[in-house]
Amino acid sequence: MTELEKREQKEVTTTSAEQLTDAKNSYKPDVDIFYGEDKLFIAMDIPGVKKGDVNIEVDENNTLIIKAKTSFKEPEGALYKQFGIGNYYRAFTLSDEFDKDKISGNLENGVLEITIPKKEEAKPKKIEIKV
Amino acid sequence: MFFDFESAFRELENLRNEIDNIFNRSNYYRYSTFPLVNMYENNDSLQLVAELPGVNKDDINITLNNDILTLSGKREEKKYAEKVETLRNERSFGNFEKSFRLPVLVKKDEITANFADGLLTINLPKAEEAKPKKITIQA
Repeated sequence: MTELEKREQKEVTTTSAEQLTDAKNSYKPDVDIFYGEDKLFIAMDIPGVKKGDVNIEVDENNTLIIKAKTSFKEPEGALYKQFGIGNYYRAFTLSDEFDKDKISGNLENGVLEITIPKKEEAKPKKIEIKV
Repeated sequence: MFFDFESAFRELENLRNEIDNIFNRSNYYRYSTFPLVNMYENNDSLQLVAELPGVNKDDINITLNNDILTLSGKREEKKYAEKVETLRNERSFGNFEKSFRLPVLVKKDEITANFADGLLTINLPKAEEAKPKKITIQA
């Protein structure tokens, strides 16, 4: 890899969660995170990744780690490059209110969607008080 | 110790220029618009690869006007639930349009495009006159 190509790689951010695992030689994908009433939604752009090549795990420190392997074979002879082709890595710290055993994910057209439900006791409850 | 103000300022000026150069070269400032595109060239063709994750195939338009290739379309934002609070918002949505000047002539009728896993690949075969020719020396 030439110096110029190296420089064009997106920097992998090192938040406290991300320092826990080696994120070298991976790209940091763009992500949207939404906090719903009973769920957390994550949408992540990982173009070039096929179904089955994504690994989602939660480690003992409650860190959600997403790793994805690209299937795109880069052609030779780049005239110019605005993005690098490679694997993806991103990690976030989850709070205790989420049920890490019920995480579900779906990959469609280069977008990974992850749903993490809240634990039953953390969901908002309607309490009626009769006076 | 003798302190040379002039050379100190020159050093500062050099440092400032170098920092400016780093920012000019980084992809964040230069290519912040969607979609990001790579262009490749071999002896027979040009290949353009664009990152279009989450875009419907039918929402992508590719047009060629002389040597200007234009990529346009729309990226729709998906609504996940009624009541949501946005914690992170790094992805961009909406209409996009990007044009590229092709460095060589291409065969207009033989352009093909393929869209898979959010990556669009446009294959542009070079016109015969744009292909490299080996010239043999007669004598």
